[in-house]
Amino acid sequence: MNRRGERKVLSIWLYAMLAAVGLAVIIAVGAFHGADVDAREYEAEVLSERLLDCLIENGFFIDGDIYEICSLNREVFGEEGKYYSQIIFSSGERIEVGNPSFRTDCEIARDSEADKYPKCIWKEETYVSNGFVEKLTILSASNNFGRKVSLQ
Amino acid sequence: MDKKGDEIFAPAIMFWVLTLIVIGSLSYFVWNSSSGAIVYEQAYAKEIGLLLDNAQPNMTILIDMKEGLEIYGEKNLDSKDLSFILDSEGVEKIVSIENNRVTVSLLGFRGYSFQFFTDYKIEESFDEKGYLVVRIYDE
Repeated sequence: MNRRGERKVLSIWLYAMLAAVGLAVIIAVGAFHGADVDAREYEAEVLSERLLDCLIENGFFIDGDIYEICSLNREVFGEEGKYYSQIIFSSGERIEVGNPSFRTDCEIARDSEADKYPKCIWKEETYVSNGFVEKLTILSASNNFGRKVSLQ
Repeated sequence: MDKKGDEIFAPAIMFWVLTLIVIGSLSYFVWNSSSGAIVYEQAYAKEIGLLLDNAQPNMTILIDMKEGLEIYGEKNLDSKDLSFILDSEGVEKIVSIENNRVTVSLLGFRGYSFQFFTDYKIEESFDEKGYLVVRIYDE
């Protein structure tokens, strides 16, 4: 190969190196700053605590419209929403709010690692009904990731 | 300059111009990212959302947003004077809480939005120290 040929080959490699370094910097910085803070588990925990706080008062279960009693937004708890809660009484009776598909997702995610599945929290509490102590289980789930939005 | 000179210098000049453009763009990208605006937007939006999920009526929540406000001032106003936050339009530009979504924008043209599930009436404003003041009322 003559000198001019060598120079051309060298400059192609220099461009390629430059592009590779640039790409690596962009990917590294992008990955660091674009990382998502996963708050789904905290939110499911907060939802469970909120339901327990508002549904059981002084050890007694408060019956009624769960949205009203616990000040939950009905639209956000729609069937296509990002939240789900199920209250299971010891009699087997259940009350459900939110996206019903999360019920199965929570069962699957309970035994395996599934990143895109909702984060689920199970909690148990007791209450008094007709003089007997009854058990109540609350399953709460959140798949609320948040998103970047354009404001223009 | 003769043709031979052109052949030698033109590719070299082109290479250095391209190199400077690439390095300049990279530096701008890294400098922009290093302000942490993207990270702060997400952290603030999720913090406010989770606090609202946990809140009770008649509560007032104070959230320290000084660092975020400084980023907003530098990026949008070329200034560290934060007096703009005291008027209601200043708040709306940075933090908006409506339709059960908190949206925080520190860059002006984009932001981060996070949903919350409580159904309270919410009012937000900033105090002179750079704290976001969120008041929660029963509907």
